[in-house]
Amino acid sequence: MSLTETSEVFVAVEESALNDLITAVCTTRPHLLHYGSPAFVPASSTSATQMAPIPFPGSSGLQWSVELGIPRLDLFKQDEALPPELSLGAGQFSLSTVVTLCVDCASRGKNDPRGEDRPEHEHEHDPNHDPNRDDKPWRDDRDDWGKAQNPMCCRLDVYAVGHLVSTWAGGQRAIGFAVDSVEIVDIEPNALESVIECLLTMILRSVLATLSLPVTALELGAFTLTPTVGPLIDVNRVLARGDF
Amino acid sequence: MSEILAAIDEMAAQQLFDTEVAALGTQSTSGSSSLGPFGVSYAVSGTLSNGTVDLIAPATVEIADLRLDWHVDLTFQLDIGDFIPDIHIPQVCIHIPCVGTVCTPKIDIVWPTVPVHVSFGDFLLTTVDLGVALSLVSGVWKVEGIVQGVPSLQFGASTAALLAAIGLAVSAAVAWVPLIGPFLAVLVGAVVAAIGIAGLTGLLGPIITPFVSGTRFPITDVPALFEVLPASGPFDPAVFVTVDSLGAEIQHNPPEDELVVLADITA
Repeated sequence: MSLTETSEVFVAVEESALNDLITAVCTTRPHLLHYGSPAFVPASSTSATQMAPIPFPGSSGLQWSVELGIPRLDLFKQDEALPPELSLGAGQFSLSTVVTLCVDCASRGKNDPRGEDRPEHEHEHDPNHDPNRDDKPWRDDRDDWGKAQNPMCCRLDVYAVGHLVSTWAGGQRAIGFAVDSVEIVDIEPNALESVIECLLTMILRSVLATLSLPVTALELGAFTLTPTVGPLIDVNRVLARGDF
Repeated sequence: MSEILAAIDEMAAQQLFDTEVAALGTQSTSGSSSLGPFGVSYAVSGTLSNGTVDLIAPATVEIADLRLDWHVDLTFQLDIGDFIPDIHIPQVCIHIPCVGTVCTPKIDIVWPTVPVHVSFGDFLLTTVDLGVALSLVSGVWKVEGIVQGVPSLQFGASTAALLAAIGLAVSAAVAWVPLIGPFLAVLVGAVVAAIGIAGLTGLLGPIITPFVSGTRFPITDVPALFEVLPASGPFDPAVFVTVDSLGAEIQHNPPEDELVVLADITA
């Protein structure tokens, strides 16, 4: 059986190479896997992406961070163990990673008045308020940035299954990764596990949406491929066929 | 087993080599050589255009009917005296009664040496076998098809036509020589005979064959440090992987023959 079949060009990438490509992206751009509010991420950089604290009444916002380990993909057929709740079907990949969730458990920010909370609109009349510093949609307490007072973190082993999607990266045809379901092992009660799984599903979907690999990277630019078939998951590899 | 495999079929290989052969453009060279008994200076150019690609496992790309359009400009010095004897008619005097002595003029014809310029072009078809070669040069993996051996170029009717062109060029070159008229046909015939088919092929073969033999046709270049993603902002530097090894071969995967590039990478 020919590789190209009825097409002119054929490309196949073994899962080890796919993991190498993903590792290269994640180690060069670790901010794709690390997000946090200012107490944990003082500024956006190559290492991490700063995001807003979670607004909550009576506080200056909940400080948080989420950091994922470099995901490890296993393409159908299954080689890596999965929790019994997950199964790897044809055309799917499984993903395993470690997610570190952190919150800053400080009772109050240092500028918060004790005993009463100030209405938000009084902020406009605060003589100490510097409007030039108000470039973030959350309270300007940048003196505390990067200084989580009482960080509490947990590490969770996360497993997921998903499928490839066609997308674009930098104006080029690319493959992306979509999550179908997520499983976290050994969390009780089940309702908590469901909530955490839902949270991590949303996080993983968002993170993976930023992670894509151009088709040219799959064939190292050896031949110009315009895919007409795939990229799709074959047995332990991603393949594509198309025109030259 | 290699981590990355990219393959093209013969149809794509045909497109690839059409492009690569066209990209070679016109090649040219000049020098001096022998044309039969003559020392000759030449300037020659050649342009390849692709033939029919046939992939042959495990490592041969055959190009049938590879066309070479060639053009040659030749200049050689023709010493007419080498072909027509110089004429020396001594003075003859006779005594005529009542007239005195009458002498004929002494005639010495020494044929000059004249430059002959010949400009001629034609094409030939040949079949070459390319070996698939791999090299790592200045951080770039190069896969090339290299013409194997020295193809025997068949000039065929070109030689007869070129001999005729030489004859015409000789006629034009000596037209100004006094008293050459009666000897012109003999001279042209003698020059053409002296060069002969062997003389022409002895000249054309060595100067035109290099346009084909040893020619390298690029198949693909892959940087050893391959850019997966370009830089796209202050927090998104370019992403690279290292291509640790690269290979190329022809695989017979029925019903196709395919040109396959194999690679291993690390993050």
